[in-house]
Amino acid sequence: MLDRFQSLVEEHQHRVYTLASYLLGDREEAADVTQEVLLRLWRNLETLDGNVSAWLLRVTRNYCFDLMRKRRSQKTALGNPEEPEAVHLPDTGQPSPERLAASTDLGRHLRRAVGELAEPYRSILILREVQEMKYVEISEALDMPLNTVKVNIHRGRKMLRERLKGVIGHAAAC
Amino acid sequence: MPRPADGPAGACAWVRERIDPLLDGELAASEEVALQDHLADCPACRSELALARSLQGALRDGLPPLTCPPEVSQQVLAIARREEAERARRPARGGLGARIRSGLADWFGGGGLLRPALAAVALAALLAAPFVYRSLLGPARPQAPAVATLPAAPAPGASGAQGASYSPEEIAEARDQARVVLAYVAAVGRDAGRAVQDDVFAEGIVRPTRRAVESLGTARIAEPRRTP
Repeated sequence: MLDRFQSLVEEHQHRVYTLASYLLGDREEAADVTQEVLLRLWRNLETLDGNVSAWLLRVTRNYCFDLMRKRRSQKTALGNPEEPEAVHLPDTGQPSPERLAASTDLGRHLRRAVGELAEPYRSILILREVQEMKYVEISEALDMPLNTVKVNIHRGRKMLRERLKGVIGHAAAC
Repeated sequence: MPRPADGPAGACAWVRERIDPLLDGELAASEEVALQDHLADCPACRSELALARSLQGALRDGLPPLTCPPEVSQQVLAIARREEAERARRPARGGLGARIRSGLADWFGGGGLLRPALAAVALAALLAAPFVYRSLLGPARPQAPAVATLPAAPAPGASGAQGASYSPEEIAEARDQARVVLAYVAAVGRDAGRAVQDDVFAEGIVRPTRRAVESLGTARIAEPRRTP
């Protein structure tokens, strides 16, 4: 069982970490969440059946939401607690020289815009754009009907386009 | 597919709903053909597609997949190995019945006939202990069993007709022997208790054994009645 677990860790750790990082906007917290999620996988491995990847992403998302709720409850409650918390997405730290000159400002705008998206649009776009998951995989991971996934991808991108219209148009023209 | 009755606006709406699935490779082949036909004649929809494509490219550049720090998986695997090793050492968890069965299976499963023999001796000694106790202290009395009263020592020359009579030295010696037997039983029980859960052996064998020893130890021997 240990061998099987090790293979699953090697296969999925980066995906779990990526989702947690972009949801939380904090790499240290993302590392903690990743460790907790993988340990939970270990302790449930014997009884787990079905799609391990979808299970991992669902658990990761739930852990991140729990953390975000705790953060919110620690702040003074002003306004609507259901307002999405703006998350400052982490600097990727992995710029390529070709991209850096053109995309530094764009990247910052993008990360801010995605961080400000409400759920489930933020999760869906991270899984689609970053993890390149298929619609049916996203549907399983988020436990969401396929048509709802399609609609939410469309809406999420539309919101981003609205926020980034000037920036993307300029970048496209460069 | 966009219908001619929908008009240009309807056709454009149909196409724009399908731009995202097109970019994601999730569009049915037949719909893709119709969409490409429309795009060939519609600059506005072509512009929408270009904008969507730019956004997708920007997102992929701006939000690349990240690499999990290696210490995370190292820590996780170290914990998993430790838990696996502990699990291999411990008996199976479960209810008390499962633990008893597992422990007994482990205990009797190794060591050939020695362990079953020891268990039989321990059980026999435990069963015999009350009889040893009673034979030392005379017939059971309804009151105050903690104090053992002994019949008076027979007068010199008397036959001692009223049952067995023992001197304090003989009683002390028998008590010591009983203690040795019961200590052995307790030790065997402790050894067995390592495999079988402590609460089983503790309640079933060790504690009753201890109670028997303690009651022997606390039993006071009354002063023999002095003959006038």
